[in-house]
Order: sequence, then C-alpha cells, then structure tokens
Amino acid sequence: MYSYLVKRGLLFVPTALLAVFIVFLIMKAAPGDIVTIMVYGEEGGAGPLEESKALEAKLREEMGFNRPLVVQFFDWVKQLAQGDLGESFTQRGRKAITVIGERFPRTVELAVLTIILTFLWSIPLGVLAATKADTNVDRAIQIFSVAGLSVPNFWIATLALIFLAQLLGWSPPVGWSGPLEDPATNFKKMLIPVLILAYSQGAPLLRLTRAQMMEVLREDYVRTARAKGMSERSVVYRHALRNSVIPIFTMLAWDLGRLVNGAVLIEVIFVIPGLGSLFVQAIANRDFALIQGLVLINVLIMLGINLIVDVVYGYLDPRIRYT
Amino acid sequence: MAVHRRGLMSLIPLSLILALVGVVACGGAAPAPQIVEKEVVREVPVERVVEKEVIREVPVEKIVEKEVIKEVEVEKEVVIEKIVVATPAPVATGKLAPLPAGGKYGGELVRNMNPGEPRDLDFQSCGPGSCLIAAAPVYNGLLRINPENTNEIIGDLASTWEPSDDGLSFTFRLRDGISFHDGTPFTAADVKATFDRGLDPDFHSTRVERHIKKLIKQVDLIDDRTVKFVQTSPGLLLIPTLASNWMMVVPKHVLEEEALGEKAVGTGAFKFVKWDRDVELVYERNPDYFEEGLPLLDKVRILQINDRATIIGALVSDQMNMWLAAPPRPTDIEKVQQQMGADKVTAIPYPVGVNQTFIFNTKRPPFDDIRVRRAVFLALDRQDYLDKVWRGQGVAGAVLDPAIYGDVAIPLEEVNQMPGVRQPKDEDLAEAKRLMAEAGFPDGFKLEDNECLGQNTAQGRLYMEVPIAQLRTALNIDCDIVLQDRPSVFARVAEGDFTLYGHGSGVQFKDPDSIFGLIIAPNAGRNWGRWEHPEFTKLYDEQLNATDLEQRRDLHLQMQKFVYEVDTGHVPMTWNHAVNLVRSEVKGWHSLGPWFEHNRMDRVWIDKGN
Repeated sequence: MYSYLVKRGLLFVPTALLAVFIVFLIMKAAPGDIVTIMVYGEEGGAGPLEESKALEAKLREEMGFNRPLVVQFFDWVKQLAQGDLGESFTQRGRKAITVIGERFPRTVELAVLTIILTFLWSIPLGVLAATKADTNVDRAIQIFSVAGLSVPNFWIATLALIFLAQLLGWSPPVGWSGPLEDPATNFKKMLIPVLILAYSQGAPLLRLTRAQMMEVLREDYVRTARAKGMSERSVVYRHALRNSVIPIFTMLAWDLGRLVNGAVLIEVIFVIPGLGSLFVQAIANRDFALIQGLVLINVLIMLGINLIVDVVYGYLDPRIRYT
Repeated sequence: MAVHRRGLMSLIPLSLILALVGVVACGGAAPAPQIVEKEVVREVPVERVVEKEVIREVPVEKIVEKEVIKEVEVEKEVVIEKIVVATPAPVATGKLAPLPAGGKYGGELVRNMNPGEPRDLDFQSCGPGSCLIAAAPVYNGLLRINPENTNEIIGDLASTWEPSDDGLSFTFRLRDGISFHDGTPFTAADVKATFDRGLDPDFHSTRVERHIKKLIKQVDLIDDRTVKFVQTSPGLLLIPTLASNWMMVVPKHVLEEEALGEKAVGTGAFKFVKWDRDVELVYERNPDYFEEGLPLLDKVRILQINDRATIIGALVSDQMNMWLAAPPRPTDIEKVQQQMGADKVTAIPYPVGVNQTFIFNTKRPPFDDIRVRRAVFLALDRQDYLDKVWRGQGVAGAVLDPAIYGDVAIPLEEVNQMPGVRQPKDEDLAEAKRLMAEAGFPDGFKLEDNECLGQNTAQGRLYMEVPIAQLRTALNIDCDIVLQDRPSVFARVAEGDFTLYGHGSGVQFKDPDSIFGLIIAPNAGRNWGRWEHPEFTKLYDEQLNATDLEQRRDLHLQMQKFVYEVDTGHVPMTWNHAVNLVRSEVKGWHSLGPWFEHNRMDRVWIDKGN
C-alpha cells in the first residue's frame, strides 16, 4: 500500500506540471495579455498611440513577456520550486500564493458544508426512492431530483435572491465574515448558497443512489438476507447500501473536488470571495501567475482526491488490494 | 382687516415674480463662456465699487454674452486674484457652497463598486475606474468640480491659481492648515512630488502618459505654499485636467516609501480603514478635514458586488443605500421600486460618460476612401442604435454630450439637424448610395472573414451587430462579426488588425479633450483606425494651445461640425445615460454629471428619520 501511495504521489508532479504547461500554452497562444489591457483597455486610458506602443513594449519587457515561452515556463517552475507562484498582475504587488491562500479557506468552507448537506439529503432520499420504487413517494422524489438536475444553480440563486428580497425583504449579508470571526453572520451568508449548491450537487447523487440501490436490492444475497429473516432496515443499510456505496462515494468525492476548485457563479452571485471568483478575474485579465497557480492547485486537489478515493475503496471493499 | 390682509397676501406672488425676474436678470441666464477677472483690494472700512460692462454679440441665431466684472473691495490686506473658469458659470465663487442648515448629519453610507476590482490603491498607475472610486474619498486635488454647479471649477487644495502672461504656466497658491491623515502637514512639496512621479521617464501608466506627461513639462516649487506648473505648450487644458479626480495629491513621504499601492493616506474627507479584497472597502470620517463641517457621513463602505440580483437584494434589504456604478437596467429599477415603494427609492438620471463609436480602419480598403466612410457615416441610424443598444436612454449622434460638456457641446437641437443624425434619413441615404456608387460600390460589398471585430460581451456584441444590420439594409455592406475577449480585441485594434469595430470609450474629465484626445485626434491612444485629416489636426492643435476660453470653445464647436460635415474615423453613435438608484435616507446627494464625479461623498449624509 505504501509503495502504491509513493508511486501515485510521484506521478502528481509531472501530471500537474503538464496540465499547467498546456494551460500556459493555450493562454499564450491567444492574442493580448494584461499589458494590452493596461495600455489600451482601461476607462479613459491610452496615451498617444506612438507612446502607447513604446509603453506596451517596455511593460512587456519589464514583465518578462518577451522571453521565449519555454524560458518563461521554466522560470516559473524554478520559482515554484522555491514555493513561489509568481506575482499577480491584477492584485499588483501581491504574491499569487498569498492571494490564493486568502481565498482558499472560504471556498473550502463552502465546499465542505455543501458536501455534508448533499450527503445528508441525497443519499437517504435515494435509498428511500429505491425501496419505494414506482410508488408516489418515488415519483415525488424523482420530480424533485430531475428539477435539481435540469435547472442551473445560478438561475435558482438569482430567483432565490429576488424572491427573498421581494417576499421577506431579506438577502444574505453582502460583506464577508469568517466562521470564527462572526459565526452568526457567516451562517447567514453561507445558508442560501450552501442550500442551492447542495440541491444541484445532490440531485445526480440521489439518482445514482437510487439506481445503484435498485440494482443491488435485486441481487441474490439480498434475497438470501431477507430469507434469513433479517430486518428490512438491516438488509437495506447493512447489505444493500454498503455494496452500492463505491460509485456514490466516488461521485461525492469528485463533487468535493469540483467545489473546492470553485463554485464560480455561486461565489460571484453571493459575493463569496473564493477561488471561483478569483479564477474568473484572473482569466479576464490574463493574470498568468494566478491562472497557473490556480490550475496547479486544482490539479493537485483533484489528484489528491482521486488518491484518497482509491485508498478508501480498499476499506469499503476488502476485495480491492493495491500493490 | 380681512380685506387688508388679502391685499397684503396678493403682494406675495407679485414679490415672488419680481424676485424671479431679478434672479434671471442677475445670474439666472444660461451660462455663457467667460473669463472672470477679479482684482480684490481689501482695506478697512469696507467700501465697494462695482463696474459692470456687458457686451452682447448676436450672431445668426445665438447670443454670446460676455461679462467683464471689475470688483474692488477695500479692506485690510491687499491681494490680487484671478479666477479662470474652464467652463463658465453664472457665479464663480471658487469655494464650496455652505452646508444645508438643520440637517441631522452622520450615518453609514453603503454603495457599490464598478465591476472590476482595483488592482491596488495607487490611482496614478491603476487604470480601471474602480481605482478612482476607491481613492476618491481619501484624497483631494488642487482643483475640483463644484458639486453645486458642475460647470464650474473651484479650488480644492489650491486657494487661488493664476496663469502666466504667456499662458505657458499656472501658479497655484495652496490652502493653509491642511494635514494628511497620518498628521503630516500638507505642503507644496507634496504637490511637486505627486506630479514629479508622473513626469519620471521611468514611471509609466496610461493616466500619467495622457494626463501628466502630455501636458506638464515641470513642476516648480516656489515656496512652501506655492507651486508653479509649467506646461509643454500654452493652453487651458491643464485646469480641467487638474480638476479631474485622477489628479489627486499624495504625500511625498508615502511616495518615497513606495507604499502608495498599499496605503491610502490623503487629505480627503474620509480616512481609509480597510480593504477586504473582492468584498468591500471601508472608510471613516476624517474629523480634521479642512472643509469646515465636512464630511457629513461617519462611515462609507463600498461593496464589490457584481451581480444585479445581489445588488437588488442588498438595496431592498437595507444593506446598501445607493446603486451608483454599473447602472441598473429599467427592469432592475422596476423591481426595486415595486418592492420598496417609489417613495423609498429615487432613480436619478445621469450621463454615464461613455461614448459609443463605430470605427473604420482608414488604412484598409475600402475605408481608406473618404467617400465610403462618408457613406457609412450618413447611412448609420443613431436613434435606432440608441433604442436597440440602450433602450433609448441617452443621446444619439452627438460628438460631445451636452449633459457632460455643457455649452462647449453643440446643442442637441442642432445635432439632430446634422448630416447622418437627422431624421428621416431619406436624404442622407440617397447621398450615401450616391457616394458608394461613386466609390465603385453601387451594389455594396462584403468584408472578408475576421475583418469586423467586436467584444464578446452583451454590449460589445450590440455595438457591432446593430450598425452592421443597418448597413446591410441601407447599403448592402455586410460582414461576419468576430467576437473576442477584451485582451484579444485590444491586441488586435492596437495593431490595426481590423476593418470595422464598435467600441464604448469612457471619459475621465469634463473637457472636450477627454474625448477628442482619446479617440479622434491624430495620435490619440484610441484612434485605432489611424484616421487623420490635416484640417482637423490644425483645429485640434489650435485648441490645445488656445489661451482664450472663447476662442477654445469656438474651436471645439468647429471640430464637432467637422465630424458631421467632412470626415471622421469614429462615427459617434451614442452617449448613454443611466440612473443612480438612491434610497430615501440618503440626503444631500444629487447627480454631479458622469460617474467619475460621484465618488467623494463629502456632502452626503444618512437620515433614516428615527
């Protein structure tokens, strides 16, 4: 197991660097960068055209954009080896690692709360739908889950904000307070986005749970367990659910990974200053240091979650062994 | 007795009418371009001699009124003041008007920010408008726009200013007793340090290139309270430029520490408290502010909210008082007013200060042919564009928006009679077709792929789709529009890699050069189509160097007419207007013109009526 973990861990580095390099090349292939925005794109900006050209060239040289692409990338890798992701252009004078570090806990809070709530509502309802298959209970749950699958979460968020404001004259706090700093405000801030995200993340999980459970409930060993006189509760939860859980757990873990990488629109709509909104800003402004840093972190998170999922498989299903 | 009282009562309307006539006669007339020279000799006891000479010139259909007022007061001290008014005002007091009496001042004001977050707090090198919004409460400039009369420039940190005889320099006398928020006294050395930074050949930013390096040759320290600006050439543009919020003065010691990006230490009405990135900026009242009694608020919070539904929610749920930046749409206004009641929130219209133009690349065929440019200029329907792009909110076809530039702009009634703008369009369309035929395109043409460029935003798309649809119908000119993101578009237009492009350019101060010098002038930073015309260049250079306001205004009018009657590389389509949504507890706020004038908040207060 340990040698397996080491091997997987070692693969993280080239995989992450390759992903960042691909993104780097794509970004560089597109015309324009932060310098073009600074020189030509700002409100009322742009000095005389000839001077602007000179300024553009000078800024590009200062920022090192004139160097060959491979040199730029490997300089960044050298910086990375020293724990430095480079300097942000959109948050001038600040290290990308600092900017990302500020945002990371906020997104993690949103993601973890969402996953907990998703787990709490979708799996029990999925099990219930499977055990009450083709009844009105099942149909009601299916309608609810299909709605969650079909309606985009940003649209639900927008409607929620409008209805809350119009019906109750209330909306989530617009400022930000951390959970330790001001728990009550933080709760009010996170409540609606977590509910909405948990609904949209939980809907496919619910359907997966139902499908898995229905399949397992038809297995011979379940019939045997019932024949042996085990309680229905024990049959469902100890035998059927345990054997359905691997794909459900995989999906839940992937959801966590995607959420930690940023629930972009929900963060923007609910003014949660996390990684999602940062990614949007970084891309809009071609902030290479931030983009590369965020891609690197995203890749590492997804690789890490994959590894954890693989390890947990071994515990969930004793037949799985890693060498 | 009752009859007698009724008689007295009947005198009241009469008195009001007489008073009104008096006001109109003395100062209520429409502002006219003027230079007010004030020679003030003060000794005690007070005597006053006022000479008033009124010269009226009556050209074809307008009255240009020149007033030369010589006012002599005899008091203890002897000083000489000259006030040069960049854009004329009925009364140029040079000072802020007194505060409204009896207000229950104080409170916390919460407003929203422009969509783009400031890069940092160094407004001299930070480009997005959000940088200005973040900095404006903290700093002062030498001059400012009078909030009570937005056509007038008054002193801010400067008490008086005077041009040299040759018009090449201006000498500013600074106010006494002003300190920065950290307690350091404000002196002329801070002014010099602020502008010297911009003049440093190694310091670059669009603000500096356009506003400082272009205009200022050097800043000389005369004494602790006097500073002289030497211009690159004689002219009057320096004054409105210095009244722009971008030209605020920063402390020398903060510049020396190279800490302007992180520290906001000014002389302004509010002290900077904190900036929670992507969430809010917080300011508190500066109790030592040099304007007596100001500011009226205790605290200001500027929220970084970009989503409209979130802004509506915040406004309705009493978390925000004003929706100032990224203006609401009519549907947003309806939602807020329905929820809160029309009496609880007011929609106050204002000219946004963004000019949408349709740009030709004059170095590429067929738009290197003036006849084709002219045909397109005549065929485009500005009113239709205004209706479709801005739901009719704004001004169609004006080179300069009168709501921003006052009487320097051609009045809208005249604009609406100009070629290309006038309705119905039959005459212009016939002429456009004739020009196209003469240029060898009687059946129109289709541009190659990738020649028509637009930004991939909702508005950016409309800036191209609407005019191209018009040209397709009117002249059979067609193209497939390529929509790209901002950096890609700017990279392409800067290289001249386009044939047609639609863009909205925001202006930053209230002088016509804010638009002529930005998009139309031969070497303007956004003259992406490389348009140039010797006659226009001559007019442009003359207005830059004009030292007489009347002459400068006349040149500005000629430049606008040139665009309508001869040629341009940018077809002026619209200046959009929007509204600010202001909750009823906000007092003392009124539109000061374009968005960049709305950010000081020093004369606003909150009164919830509790």
